[in-house]
Amino acid sequence: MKKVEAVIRHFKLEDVKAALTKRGVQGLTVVEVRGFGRQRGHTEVYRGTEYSVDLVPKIKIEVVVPDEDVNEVVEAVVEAAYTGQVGDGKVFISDITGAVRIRTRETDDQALK
Amino acid sequence: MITRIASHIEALRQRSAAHSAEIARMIRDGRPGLEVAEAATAMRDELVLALWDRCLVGGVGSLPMRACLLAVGGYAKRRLCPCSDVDLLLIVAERDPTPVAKSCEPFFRDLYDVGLDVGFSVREIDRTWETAVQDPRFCTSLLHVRLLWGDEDLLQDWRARFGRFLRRNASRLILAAEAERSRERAEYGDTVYLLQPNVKRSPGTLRDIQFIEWMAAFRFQDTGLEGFIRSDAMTEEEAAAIREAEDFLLRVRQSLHCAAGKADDTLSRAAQWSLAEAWGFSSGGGLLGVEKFMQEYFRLTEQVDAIRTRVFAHVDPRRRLRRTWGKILAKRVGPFVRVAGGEIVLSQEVKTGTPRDYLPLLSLMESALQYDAEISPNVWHWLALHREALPAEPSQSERERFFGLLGSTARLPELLRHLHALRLLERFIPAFGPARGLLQFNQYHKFTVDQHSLIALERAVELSRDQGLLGRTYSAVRDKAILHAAILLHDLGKGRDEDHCTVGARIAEEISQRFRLSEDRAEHLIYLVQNHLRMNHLALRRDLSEEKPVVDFAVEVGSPERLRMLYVLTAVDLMAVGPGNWTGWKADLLAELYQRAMRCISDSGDILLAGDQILEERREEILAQPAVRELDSEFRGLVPTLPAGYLLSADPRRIAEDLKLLAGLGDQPVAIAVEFVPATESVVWTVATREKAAEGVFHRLAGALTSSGLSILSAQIHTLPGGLILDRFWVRDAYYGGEPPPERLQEIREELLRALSSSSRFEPVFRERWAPPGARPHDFTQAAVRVEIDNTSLPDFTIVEVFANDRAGLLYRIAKTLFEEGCSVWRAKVGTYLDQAVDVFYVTDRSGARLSDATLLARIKSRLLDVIQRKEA
Repeated sequence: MKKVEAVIRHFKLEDVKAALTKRGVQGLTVVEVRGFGRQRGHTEVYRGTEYSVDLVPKIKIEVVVPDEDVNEVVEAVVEAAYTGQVGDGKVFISDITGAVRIRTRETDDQALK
Repeated sequence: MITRIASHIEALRQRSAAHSAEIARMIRDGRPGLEVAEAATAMRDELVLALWDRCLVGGVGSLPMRACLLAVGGYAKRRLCPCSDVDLLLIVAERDPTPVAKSCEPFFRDLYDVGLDVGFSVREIDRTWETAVQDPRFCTSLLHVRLLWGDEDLLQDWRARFGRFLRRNASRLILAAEAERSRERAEYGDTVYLLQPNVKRSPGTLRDIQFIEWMAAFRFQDTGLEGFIRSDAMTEEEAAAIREAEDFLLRVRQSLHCAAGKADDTLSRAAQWSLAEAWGFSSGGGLLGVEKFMQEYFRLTEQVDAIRTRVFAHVDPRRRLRRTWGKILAKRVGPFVRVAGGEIVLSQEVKTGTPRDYLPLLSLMESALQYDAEISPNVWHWLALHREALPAEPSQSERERFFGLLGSTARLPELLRHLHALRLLERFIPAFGPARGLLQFNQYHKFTVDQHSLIALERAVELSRDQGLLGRTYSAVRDKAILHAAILLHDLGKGRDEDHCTVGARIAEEISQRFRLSEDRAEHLIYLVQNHLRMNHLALRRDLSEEKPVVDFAVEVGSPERLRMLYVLTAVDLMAVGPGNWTGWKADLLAELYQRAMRCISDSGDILLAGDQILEERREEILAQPAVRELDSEFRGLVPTLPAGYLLSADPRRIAEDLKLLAGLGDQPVAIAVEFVPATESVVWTVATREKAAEGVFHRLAGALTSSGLSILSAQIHTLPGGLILDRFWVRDAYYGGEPPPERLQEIREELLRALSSSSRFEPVFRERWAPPGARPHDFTQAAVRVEIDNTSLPDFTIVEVFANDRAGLLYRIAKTLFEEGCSVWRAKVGTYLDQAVDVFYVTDRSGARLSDATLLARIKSRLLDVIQRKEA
């Protein structure tokens, strides 16, 4: 199992959600976050970078998927979240060592379905 | 997944990597900083222009006819370091720059993708000023611009308008830039003499060089230094010194960027060592290579700092006005000196001549102190020019006159600071010479030795406005010259192998002879310097409720005057170590020791200094607490018997809470209270038990706290009357900033109870704190690691002192070792100062007697050493 986390522009959430549901992703967690990357919160910067770093609002989504689906899911997220401008965001992929569905106690891939 | 990096970006990235390699090679070869910066700038130009051309060719159809692309700030000035930002400005003649900005988006994005840190904006020519007026930083960045592409006439036009803008607003801009720079200087240390300075922002560094250029631009509409030279505010030599410093600082900064691979401008200790080695500063003459390297750094930045101060005084609009008036209203106050416009200046006939002795200087200082007026920066400059003309040794009468000045307050530290900067202080006090920029290789001090001494003196002089015990004590000191001399000398013995107190005492003796001090004054001075750590150690590492050490100390000090001096010296020494070092806790303990010792030697029964009064007040305050009033008489009755060390360890409200906790103990073996302290973002855990309720309570608690991911900042054990024991820990939570949620506290509470339940023989697991590899290649604090066992100070306890580098689980391991060796810990004072832990334990054997077996003591010492040096299994 893999966890796919993506930090994206807030107005791209609907597109990403649609793209993921289209590919059969069953569950998605969405968090409103603030942060900065190399863009440092500026599109037009004037020596501002040196003095201040603004935290820009972004959306973070998290999806846990079986290993074999991960490429497709990442592709879908990247496709849907793309604008081509600095600040489109990043996708992080990590290993998940276990999952349990609380109600039925099914584990791992079973728990994801 | 197929990457979508355009081929031109890929090509430029490779180009950029080749550039970086070339720059790194130049830095390794030791090329001059200015040369490397020029090369780095040319390389950046190549990348920027390649992308700009592409952007033009790529059909930026809406780009107006008249536009120019400018480099600004350090990039314009060709002063780039490997990871510097690249600041760009596109000026257009159009009314609305938005469509142009839109068409430039691919340019900005490509720069970013190639890996440059870019600042880029598009502005209409007349709109530039709107921002410049509001934002002094933006305005100063425009003082350097360089044409990269475009319409030269437009740039000329822009320059002309900018020049007019500068002239119109010069005064306001000067003050705004100074305010901004003062704020930044304060944020980055406020003195040149930092042990780990920031080479871009700390005082005397690259930013101050820029500042000098800004002032030139505001005043003369040109960033060159010629304007200052023409108007006699700067000499040719000083302009050269600025270039020398700039080259040095650029080299340092370039090396730092190159080593870190990012824009890291802090000259850390590790970087100091490696640069000193790489640049061939070798050890010798009693100094390490790294110390010589840093002395070079301090020499250069100190010059920049002094020039900066004078240049600002020259352009400061407020001062210019005062000077004009001052010329009219000047008043002669001595053979050499006039007071004009609120500042001390030299009379005309002296100014044009060369000083042959120190009399003008002393006269200036006396007037500055008498009239509480600042000495004009021009006077200091005059002295700097004629420093070499002055005799190397002041005459005997000059020396004595100088020593007399040390008894003043107010402006004394400021004057001495100037003298030190001019290297004249060491002509009166020779030991100040070697202390200049002397590093202190421990994690405890923030300043070099000379700065530490001067800062301590400043703190002392400020005490004359303090209404508290310390301030009143300072005011009561009759011989301030001796006190101030002791403050200046106390650490000058550092930097040699011998103990610095012993060396210091010798220095104090030499000084006494040099200034022909009377015998009793000399005795005071030597005693104070030799024993400047005495009170500190006694107050912070010993339990003050014991009578004997306090009496011994009082007898040793001998006189109230000397005790007052020692108290003030100890306090200002602690204050001058670094920000945050002087805490209420230390202040209280020191005050307590001072007052009790004073009671022993003061026959006048001075009410002001009466010792028990504070304790009595504390007891009354505690009895008045609502929590205490509700308790039954058994626990209220405890209050008059509480020991002094405990009464002073916490505020009355917390002690009231403690009593409530003890009262609630009942038949249980243990009761636990917890409180979050927002001011320090720490949590205080208090555990109440009874004697013999459980064994090895202290180390078990310490282990449980640390294994739960808490770092222990400080800990105390208090044994109270009636066999009651309080263990208190100040901890910080690595996993929760701010107040931890209730479930986290509950989790820790359970962990503590589990650790105490006598059946559990658990070994806590510690997570080592993460530290970047190589962050501490040289173990600066190694010398401080030691264990001392004191079996003579107290009749009932053996005192074990442990000095170690802090790490996770340290306190647990120490306490456990003591427990395993059959020791009962009765009191503990555990503190962490930055990375150095100082732990003091009062122990006995299990039967309650002082340890007497010599082999046992030796074994304890060697086992503890193994623990702190990480040799234990």
